[in-house]
Amino acid sequence: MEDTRPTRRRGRGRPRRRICAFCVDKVNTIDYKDTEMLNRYVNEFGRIRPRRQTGTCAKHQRALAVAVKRARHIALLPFVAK
Amino acid sequence: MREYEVTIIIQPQLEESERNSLIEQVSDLLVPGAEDETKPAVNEWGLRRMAYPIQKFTEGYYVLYEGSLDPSRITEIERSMQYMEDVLRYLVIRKES
Repeated sequence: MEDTRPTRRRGRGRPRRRICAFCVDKVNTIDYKDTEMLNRYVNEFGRIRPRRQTGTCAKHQRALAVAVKRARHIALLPFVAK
Repeated sequence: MREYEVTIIIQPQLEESERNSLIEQVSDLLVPGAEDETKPAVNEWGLRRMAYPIQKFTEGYYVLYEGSLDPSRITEIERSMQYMEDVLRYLVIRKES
C-alpha cells in the first residue's frame, strides 16, 4: 500500500530565526511612532506578521501588536494596504 | 499624576494662524490640573501623508504633546478633542515607565 502521509517539512520554507530583535536591543517599550521599525513587522497587506516569521518573543509580540494598532489609529500605518 | 503622550492630526487646509491657535488651545487643555498649569512639551511633525484618507484628506498636520496629566481628566480631555472639528484624529497614550 502506498504511503499517503505528508512528507516531512523539515528544511522547507523560511529558515527559523529564533532571536527576538527587541530582546537583543533590550527594548522596554515599542514606540508606535517609529514607522520604519514597525513596517518590518507588517506584511505587504499591512497585517501584523506572525512570530513564526519574525522570531519575536511572546512578550514583545504583544507589545508590538499594540504599537501597530496605535500607529494605525493615527494613520501612520494602514489598516489594509494594496 | 502620570506621564502622557498625546498625538493629534490637524486638518491640512487650515490657515497657519488658525492652526497655531488650535495647537495652543490643545496645549492649554493638556495641563496637569487647575492648580498646576505646566504646559506640555510640543513637538510639531508638520504635514505628513497619512496611510489612509481621513475625512477625505490624504495629508495631515501631526502634533505631538508630552507632559503629565491627572488621570481623572483624560475623559474630559478626550471629549474636548472630539468636538474640535479641525482635529482629524487624536491619540492619548500613557507612557510606560
